[in-house]
Amino acid sequence: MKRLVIISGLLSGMFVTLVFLLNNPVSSAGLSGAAGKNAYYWNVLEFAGNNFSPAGLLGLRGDNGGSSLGAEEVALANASILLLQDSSGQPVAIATRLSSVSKGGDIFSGNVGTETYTNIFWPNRGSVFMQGYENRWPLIRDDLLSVFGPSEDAEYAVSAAANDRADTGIVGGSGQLVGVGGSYSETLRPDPDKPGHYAGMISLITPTE
Amino acid sequence: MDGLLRAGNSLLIRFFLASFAAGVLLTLLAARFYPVPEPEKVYSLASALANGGREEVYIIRLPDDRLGNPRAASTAPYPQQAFSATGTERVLAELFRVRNREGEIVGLASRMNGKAPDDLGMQEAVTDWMLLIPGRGALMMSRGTVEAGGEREFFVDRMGFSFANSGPIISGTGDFEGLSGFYQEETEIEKVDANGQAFGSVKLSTRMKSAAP
Repeated sequence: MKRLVIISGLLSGMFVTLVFLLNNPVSSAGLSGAAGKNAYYWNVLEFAGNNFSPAGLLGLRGDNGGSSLGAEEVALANASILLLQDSSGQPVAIATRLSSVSKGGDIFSGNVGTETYTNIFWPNRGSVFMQGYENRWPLIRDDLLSVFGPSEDAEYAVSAAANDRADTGIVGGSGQLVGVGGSYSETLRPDPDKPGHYAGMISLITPTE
Repeated sequence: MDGLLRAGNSLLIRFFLASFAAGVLLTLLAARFYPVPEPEKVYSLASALANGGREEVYIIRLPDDRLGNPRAASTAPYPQQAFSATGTERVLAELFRVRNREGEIVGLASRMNGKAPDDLGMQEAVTDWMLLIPGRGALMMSRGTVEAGGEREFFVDRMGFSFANSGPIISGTGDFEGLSGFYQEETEIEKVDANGQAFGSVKLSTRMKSAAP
């Protein structure tokens, strides 16, 4: 009887804490993912490397769900080419993106993320460089909770302040966008056409617009 | 008998509360010290420059290090109104693995090439590079209609690089944060096979120094 009480107390404590951690009130505050004036919808044209599956981000599975890049040094990174469309679905720009798992991931504070570097090129206009941080904890949480049923039409605001408080945002550009600055935010949603991958919406806020 | 039962229940409640607290504590500790995977630190093979800066060289072997379509990388699907396979609207995007001077894979890179207007509205070729070294940081670099040291194009000192194939480092993070400098791209194509596959290498040299005066 005593053992049963101790085990049930232990399990209850663990369960309650797990629920608390999954809905962590002190989790890193994300940046607003609302669609602004310069909002683009993107999907992946090409992808190589670790696809940052929730289980992979926690190191729970040997298989990262992506493709190997052939070296341990880049095992926690990926590269992709994105097509950006405007709100009417018209392709307007192409982008490359390089991402790597960030240092300092911490389940306790609900912050497990990736560093993301994006280069968008608008034909005949110019390009911008952006550096950002994505907190993937909401995706991990939903993946863990999916044992109770899949979450439909999930959309995640992932842009957040970096762990080391490094600068994020638009850091420069070319052509008509020379010297541009500003910020951006991003939301992700599972891409129905490419299982295991995400599509998204990126909203750019520049001082001139 | 009643008293004994009550004392027993009280003891069980205490056991439950103590083990509940232990469960909370254990889970919090596990969450705090859970080893979330992170990239290994890749050490730089930098050379010191006479002017106090440093040079790092990265190599891309073609076609081995090209990611994705090995022929011409990926462009937007055609035909689309916004893009064209040729002319000024053509934008080429490529992804690569990157090696250090010793040939070890240390990172990833992307290259974008297209046209953008200069000060006078003339379309000029622009080449953007991003270089990511997991565990160290990233570099964003560009040449064409970009600013170099506050002036467009005609920047005299490129830390020894040729004006023809070099451009400024736009931004850096991690180990590259707070550094300014230039990069140079040198492509050597040894042969192109019957399928149009290029064999050779791309050498990206970076020269950086502290941006602080």
